[in-house]
Amino acid sequence: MSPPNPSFPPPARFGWIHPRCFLGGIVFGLGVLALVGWKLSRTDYHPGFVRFHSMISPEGNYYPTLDEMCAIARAKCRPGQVLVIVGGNSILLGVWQRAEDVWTRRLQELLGDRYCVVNFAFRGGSPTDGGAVVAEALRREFPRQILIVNEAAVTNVESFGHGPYRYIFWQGYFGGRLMDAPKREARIREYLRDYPEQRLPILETRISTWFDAALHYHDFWNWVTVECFGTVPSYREQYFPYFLRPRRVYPDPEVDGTDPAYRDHHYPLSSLDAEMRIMRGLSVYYHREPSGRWVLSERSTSDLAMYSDEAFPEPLKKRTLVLICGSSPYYRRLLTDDERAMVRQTYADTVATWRRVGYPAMDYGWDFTAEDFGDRTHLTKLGGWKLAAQVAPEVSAMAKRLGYLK
Amino acid sequence: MIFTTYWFLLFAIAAITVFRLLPGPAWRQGWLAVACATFHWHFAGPAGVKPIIVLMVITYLAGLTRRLWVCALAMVACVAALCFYKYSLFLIGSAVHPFSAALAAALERLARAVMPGAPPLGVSFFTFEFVHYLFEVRRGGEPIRNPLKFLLFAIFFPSLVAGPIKRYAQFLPSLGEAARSPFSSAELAEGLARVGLGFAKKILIADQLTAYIDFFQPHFDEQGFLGKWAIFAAIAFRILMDFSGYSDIAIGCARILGIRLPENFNWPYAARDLQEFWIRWHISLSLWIRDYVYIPLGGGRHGWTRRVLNALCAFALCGLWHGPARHFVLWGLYHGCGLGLCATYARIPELGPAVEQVIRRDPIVGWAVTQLYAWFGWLLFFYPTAVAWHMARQLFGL
Repeated sequence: MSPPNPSFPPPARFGWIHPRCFLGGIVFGLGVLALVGWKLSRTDYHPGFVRFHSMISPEGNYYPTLDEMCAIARAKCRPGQVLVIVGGNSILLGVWQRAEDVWTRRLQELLGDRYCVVNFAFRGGSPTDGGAVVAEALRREFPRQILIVNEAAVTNVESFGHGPYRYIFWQGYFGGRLMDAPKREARIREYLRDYPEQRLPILETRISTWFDAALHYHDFWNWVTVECFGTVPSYREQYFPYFLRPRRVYPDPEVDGTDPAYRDHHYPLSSLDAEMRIMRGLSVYYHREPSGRWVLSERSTSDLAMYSDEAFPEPLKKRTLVLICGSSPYYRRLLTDDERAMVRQTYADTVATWRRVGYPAMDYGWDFTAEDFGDRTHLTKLGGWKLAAQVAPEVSAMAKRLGYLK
Repeated sequence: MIFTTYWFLLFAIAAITVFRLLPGPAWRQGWLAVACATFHWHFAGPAGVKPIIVLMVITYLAGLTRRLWVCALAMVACVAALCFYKYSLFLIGSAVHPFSAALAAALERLARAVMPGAPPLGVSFFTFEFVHYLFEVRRGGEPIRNPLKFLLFAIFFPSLVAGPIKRYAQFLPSLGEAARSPFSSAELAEGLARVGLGFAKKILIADQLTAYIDFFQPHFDEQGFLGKWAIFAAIAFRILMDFSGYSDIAIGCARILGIRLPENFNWPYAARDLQEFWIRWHISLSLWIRDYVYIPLGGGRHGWTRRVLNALCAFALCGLWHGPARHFVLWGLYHGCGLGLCATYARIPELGPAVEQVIRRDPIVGWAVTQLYAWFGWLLFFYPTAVAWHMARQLFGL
């Protein structure tokens, strides 16, 4: 007796497809798209690029590719100029500064035509994200380059990017575009050992990099999203059909922190406790000697030194300027003298550690006024310009030290 | 979603290319077994592989004996494994907890200690396929003697995760033909078109609708009349596009290999009555339920009351199969009641014949009633009963 064969409905009809034409069409279509993608990966489709604002960055579900960022740098930087890439987080991105007032524009003005400043910072980014990967990938094409990054005091930096922006690092890493860095390799191995649940996602990223290296679909779709129509929702236009508008139509949404209309948004009372806790919380890394001096704990000192040392490959350290960002005096004045001394010490110690392992480093913000800040850490146009004024001489000095300019 | 991972894409390209390049049936089937095992190992992990190996060995050996009681015991083992992995916590919570909270807590601790973090990959599907196999062998069907073929039936990668639920009498001839036949551009083209259709349904439509629903459903009450009905329609289309997209990818992948899998969807939202809906919706599951639950319970052979009771029982199980929660059972019962009503409404004095006449004269009425009924069912399927009831009332402004 044979088992019953249930009568399934007829299969979906694809009889109209002529197999050879269809397969040929797929191969041809993929080939053409890959070619277009390859071309686009070498094209700057962000004319007048200032920065990756929220509609063209991962916070708006737009993921710039490493190729796209390199193309922007290539388009902006003329041969003979020193390429100054700004990485880091929202402070260097210029939150609270309009696109036309952003501090990197001022830095460009101050540095002059012999330099080309490109802002590749991301909101919530780390020193080894976005801009750092672009600089490393372009090290041969633009050997005369300076990278400016920032970090908070006593913060350990992961050498292979951070959070939502790590994909840029993986694009460079799996694409074979980064330097051999044994310490970074060891750190990645250690990370995969400590977080085995990350192995599959990273394997996924690795395979996607292989596919993308051949088909360039990320670049193709990013171009489509910028120029033609959105393909994924953004933080601002979440639902069909609103998100279909091309991203190029959206202006940079950052506002001017010095505009009286936004003054009320500065230093809100609701976040006062949290901000003060962050500043006072720095004391956990310290102990106090009988003389009253605050001393960074041994563990914190060694961790900070180790992570800073591993953050960038050895040959790239000297061209990386690390900025340790200060806090607004609006909050500092609420600290006791003793607490203020401790906070001041954290900045001095962090700068000293970065310098000890081979990076140019500086802190800023201690001489800024409350008006220079839009909140505890972000700078308004006024603060941004002060920052540019402090950074420009340091960049010039670095360029001379590195032999970029006579 | 496994089919939308890059790993799967790379794996499928490699597995299918090598399968097509190998010379003979033995090589091809051997390779396919290695590929399926790799797929299963990658996505299920060591803990997830053990249950299917154990059940596979039990089912294979039981089938070979062809003894009724051995097959019956093996079926019990399969169902028990499904209940253990998928329903232990639910059963403890709903059947033990009301009587003894302490005992329920102890049992839950015990269950969590011995169970893996998540149910084994595809457990709902492979246990149903094993039960089908044992049932048919018990009924006199020819068992699968070749262990390699049985392995392929058990872990065939396109259908392992989300079906369609295969029948071995259909699968094995198709597998044999695929292993023997040369490369066919028609199969490749048909398969690729189907896979493309599946990805389009899943990514372009279902995922967008999911984002829409996730955003607006929590604010359902604040929506206007049209907004509420738009969310309601989005819920219905999301599940169709998501699930049928997944089935399309599975069927398309198998087709590229030269193997035919059963169809799972056939325009269910075009159905004009509920019976037709279930002939068009998740077909492989509804046929399984019909053949291995409804008919063995007596089907429609013992009168009107038994027929309705059997349908209720079969559909309660169908609901429970979708997940360990009361609302799934309610959804099944809801459809069981609907089918009962659909089969018997014409016998209601006076009203029945009148309604029947209207539906016959104007089929769109039957279609509208059927779809409304099925779509309201999705509220029960996706949301706790109170929320579903509230949303249903809101749709009518109540």
